[in-house]
Amino acid sequence: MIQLHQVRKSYRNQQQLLPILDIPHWHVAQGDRIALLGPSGSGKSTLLYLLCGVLAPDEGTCKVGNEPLHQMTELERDHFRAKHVGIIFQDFHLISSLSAKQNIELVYDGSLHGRARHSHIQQWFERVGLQDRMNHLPGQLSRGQQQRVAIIRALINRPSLLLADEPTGSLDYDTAQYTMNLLLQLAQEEGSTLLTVTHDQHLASQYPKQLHISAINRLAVHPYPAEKSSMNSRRLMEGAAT
Amino acid sequence: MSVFQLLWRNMMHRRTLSLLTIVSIAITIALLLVLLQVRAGIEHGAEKGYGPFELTLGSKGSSTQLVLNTYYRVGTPAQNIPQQVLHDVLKESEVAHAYAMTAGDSYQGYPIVGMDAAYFYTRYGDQTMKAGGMYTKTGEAVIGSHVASQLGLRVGDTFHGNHGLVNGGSHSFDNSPKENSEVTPNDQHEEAHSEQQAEAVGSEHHNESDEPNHDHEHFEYRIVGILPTLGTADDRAVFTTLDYAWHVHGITNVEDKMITAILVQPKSLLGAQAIKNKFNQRADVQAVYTSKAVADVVNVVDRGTELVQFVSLLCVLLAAITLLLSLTSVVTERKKDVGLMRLIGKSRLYVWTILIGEGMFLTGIGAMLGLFLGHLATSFSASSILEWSGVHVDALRIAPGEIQLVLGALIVGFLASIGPAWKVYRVDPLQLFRS
Repeated sequence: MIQLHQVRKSYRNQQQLLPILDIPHWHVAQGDRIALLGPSGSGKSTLLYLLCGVLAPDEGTCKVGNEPLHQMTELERDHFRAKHVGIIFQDFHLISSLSAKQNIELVYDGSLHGRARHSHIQQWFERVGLQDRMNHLPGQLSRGQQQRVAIIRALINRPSLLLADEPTGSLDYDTAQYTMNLLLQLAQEEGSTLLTVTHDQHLASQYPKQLHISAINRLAVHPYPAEKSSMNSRRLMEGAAT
Repeated sequence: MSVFQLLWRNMMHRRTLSLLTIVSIAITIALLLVLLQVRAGIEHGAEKGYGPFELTLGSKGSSTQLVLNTYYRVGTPAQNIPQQVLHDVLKESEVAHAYAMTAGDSYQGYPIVGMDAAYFYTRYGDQTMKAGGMYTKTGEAVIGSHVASQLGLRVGDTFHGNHGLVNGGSHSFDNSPKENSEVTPNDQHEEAHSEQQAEAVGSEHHNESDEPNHDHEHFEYRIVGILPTLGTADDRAVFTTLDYAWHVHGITNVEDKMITAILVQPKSLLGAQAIKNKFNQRADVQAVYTSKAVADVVNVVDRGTELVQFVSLLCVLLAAITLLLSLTSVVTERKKDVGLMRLIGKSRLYVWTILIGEGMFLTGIGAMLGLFLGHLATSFSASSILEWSGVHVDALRIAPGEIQLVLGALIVGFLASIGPAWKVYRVDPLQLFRS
């Protein structure tokens, strides 16, 4: 599903080039559900940006579902993202002027129309227990409910890759637990590959696989725990977290 | 979700600001449309206002005053000329038609014009009277359709005229009663009138003029017909036989019979030139090309409207700034929404289009509303404009430049949207992750 090879990414800070990511090789199978851990500045988010095509790597190859992101133009990456990637944010980012249902319709790929579309969207709201909140504006929903709507938005088009950036970071413990379980369950049911960035090791432990990205000066991705990762890195064990 | 639905939801979410923007655009468009309509009315009136009468003869003095009063019933009539001039004109072989006109009196502010009935056939062809028939003898009158509707007059009604163009209790086309008092069909009457100023006798038929009205009280008009709507100043005039003024003022001497103007339809342009040259040599008469005098007036009006146009341009600028402010606040408000749309796969062009679309949508709705309001305002004020200026404004007609006005509004809307749209275009989708 995901194949990274010799991927390097740096940021320019004034005149200085600041290396942020150096991944010799990384492979993720379709349907894998991976928690991505690591300290701030370790490049977790940059990895997500690369995988969703918002950023292009400086070097190396980056393929998602056999689509060569590193060779695509920005517009092609936009199309790729619309078709193959679902994204969940810490702050949900629902459009406040649109109802919960309209937020879903905004991304709907148009495969169904009219009643069939409505019925399909309704089924999704039922799956996350929000069938009676479809016409509510985001401001009328609790934070947990907003995140469930955001999960529907990310999954409605059955993306092959689901990226979640601290999806429970702004939720209370119980809601976070519920939301994370829901996310894992739905991703499995839909067969999407799930990659979740989190700082919460407890929640990460519920994932079949956890991956630790080392501190920035290590410039490498490491498995966490090592035996659960499918990663292959030249400097695999260098500074690996336990 | 279609782009249109998204635009609509976005606008409804900020309905107060959207509404203010639309209203600002609508008022500007309406104002400009009314100006266009009035201008079209003036130009249309200028073209149509004098019919086939390429030459106008009257007393020496202002050619503009002569033409404006003769054809547009605006301002005071010029001094009178002897009726003999008409006979001399009619002897000219190059004259197709020539009609004398007497003026100076009024009824309820509407001028009473003495004119040969054949004038209507020459000028308007054989149009059907709205009601009744044409006057055939002294004391009979036909009234313009506007006069009929404004005063509620019908065939068979009678009234007494009023001296001058002032009508106490209603407005006048000339605000100076003193000046009006000097304008009479004949000098004799002028003198008589001056002597009688202190009398202040009102007409028993609703005339409450401060002017002495002694002679007029004894002369009764009977309405025998109502003209169809002609779309000219004749709609707001009362017509009667040429000799009404002489009867009203008891003039029986042929030498004393004066007329105000002569409307001449020449057979050819060369003929017109010859007649003009010939009569301009006389000491008591001037002959003018009607079209030239009208063009002079339109030019003056055009210069006057330049100031109004400048103010209108300021309105356009203000409307554009309102739109710009509205869209700028949209960008500030929706940066995250835009970032989200970029992250869910919407292209830069898409988010750019959404904002441009919103600007154009606001402009479009404002423009449509403005057109509606403009036509509505014109419709409601057409009668007042006609009363006040003699300009016929057709509210249902698409004014020349109206389509350009809408296109111009859309272009201004587009230009005002470009800046905010460019900001949206450049929104970095990564900001959502960073937040």
